[in-house]
Amino acid sequence: MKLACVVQRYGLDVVGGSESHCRSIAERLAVNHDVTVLTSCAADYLSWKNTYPPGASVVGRVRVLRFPVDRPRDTSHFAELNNIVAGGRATADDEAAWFLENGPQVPALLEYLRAHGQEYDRILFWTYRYYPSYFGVPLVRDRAVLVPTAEEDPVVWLRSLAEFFTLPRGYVFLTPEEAELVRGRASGPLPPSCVIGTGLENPDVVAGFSRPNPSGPPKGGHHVLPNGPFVLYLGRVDPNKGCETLLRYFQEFLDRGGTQLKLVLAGPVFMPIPSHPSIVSLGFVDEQTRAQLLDAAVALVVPSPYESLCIALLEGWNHSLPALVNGRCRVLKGQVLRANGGLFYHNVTEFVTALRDLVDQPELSRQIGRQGREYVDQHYRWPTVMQTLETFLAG
Amino acid sequence: MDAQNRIDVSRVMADIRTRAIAELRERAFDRGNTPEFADAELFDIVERVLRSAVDDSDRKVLLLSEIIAGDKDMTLEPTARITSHRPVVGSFIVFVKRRLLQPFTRWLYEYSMDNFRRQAQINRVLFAAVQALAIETARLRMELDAARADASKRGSGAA
Repeated sequence: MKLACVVQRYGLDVVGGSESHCRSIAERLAVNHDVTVLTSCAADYLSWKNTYPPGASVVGRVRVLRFPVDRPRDTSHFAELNNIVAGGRATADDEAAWFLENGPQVPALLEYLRAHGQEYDRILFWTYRYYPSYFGVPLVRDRAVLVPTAEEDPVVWLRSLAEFFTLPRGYVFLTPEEAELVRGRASGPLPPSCVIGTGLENPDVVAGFSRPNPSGPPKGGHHVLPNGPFVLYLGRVDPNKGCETLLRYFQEFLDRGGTQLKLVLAGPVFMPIPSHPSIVSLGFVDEQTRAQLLDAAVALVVPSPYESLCIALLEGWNHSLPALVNGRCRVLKGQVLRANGGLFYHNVTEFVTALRDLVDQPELSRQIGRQGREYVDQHYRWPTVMQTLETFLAG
Repeated sequence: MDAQNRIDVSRVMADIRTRAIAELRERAFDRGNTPEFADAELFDIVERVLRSAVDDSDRKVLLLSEIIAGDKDMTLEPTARITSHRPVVGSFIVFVKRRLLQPFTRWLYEYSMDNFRRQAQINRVLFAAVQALAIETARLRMELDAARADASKRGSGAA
């Protein structure tokens, strides 16, 4: 098949959930198909400044066509629009302006889809919220397959999405909860879909696919693991990821007679962290340290209120680590219940009680972690994921 | 994996929830300052009603919000829409406001936006709680009316 993958940014040094997902899939599809990635020249998702040269190039096994960003994002105007959208008061004009300003504005990519879209058997679009997908899907709807990566954030409630969600020929979802969310938002029945999640390498197996450029993301160096038992948070330390609440809940856990447990935060920090002997922030960590932390932790804590798929959770299970997740996030709760791989909480008292159980009952903890690993083995290995996707695309 | 050792997380969570509710009741009882919560059954009902109101409050269409929709005095409008009504110099004024004035007041804007957002969220949860309580009250009223009608029918039958 001749396939196109449309995504807002693409490159070995591009770090981002949907971008990484697109790259992993595109490279694996390229083993059996003729795959072209259509993307912008931007590397930075805040400004969308043109960084890569426009035109054709090859990244790994994939041909990449880059289109220049017409206008970088007007951040103050976007912030204004974002506040209107977050407040649920957006008019139709506000919504259109939001999708335009969210960018990256690549009209040449849309022109390409108009002129050459019919040459592809299927065109996969990543992330509904960006300009290339929002304005691109309607141009090639008869062959468009949307990977929406939708979360329960305010954007998904925009009125214009009700019709947009009925347009693609098919959907590739990351979780059943995401499928349910989009189904609930669409104004009509959804086209055929499949749920693939993502693939994880078995920790012992060396992958044959391209890895992020070592000169790209910052290196964390080698960190010394904390002494004593600890729970681990992996990812951006950011209020939007539920970290403010996590820090409050964890301090409450300690105040209510918590054990000598520490909370270790491993990821770039975007918020103040209280100075507390039991809270350790490591900043960005390299892959080796990350693996060591996953092997040594008592549990992985995932406080995020919005997720379409939590890769950190799957990574934890890949290391047989039990999870403690925010039960208000349907995706996290659904994953934990399906896997029997963790506990969840809706408030501080449940957080404290569940964490106490994980710390005080090591056999319960270990067994739940093992169940998580078994779930990953069954559903999230690349051969399984790609087989599901290939069957769907061929249909 | 040995099926016998397999742990059903929903069972573990049911146990955690029971213990968490008991602990919550102890705290809410507040050394007798809310004596009603000495009754565990009553507390369970209250907790369930309030929890169901809060859970999914983001997804529910809230009647109270719909009733007051359009009432300007009851609508939070925290976002400063930067516009100008002047036809000729309007775009220049918007430019000055957005590019020159706004950056100076950005910190205050961000600070208040954050609080407005939280307030909007609290309002939503409170509306959801009021809705849940109104539903409970309506249901009880209907049951009471039915019971009264039943009683009066039986009374007139006996007469």
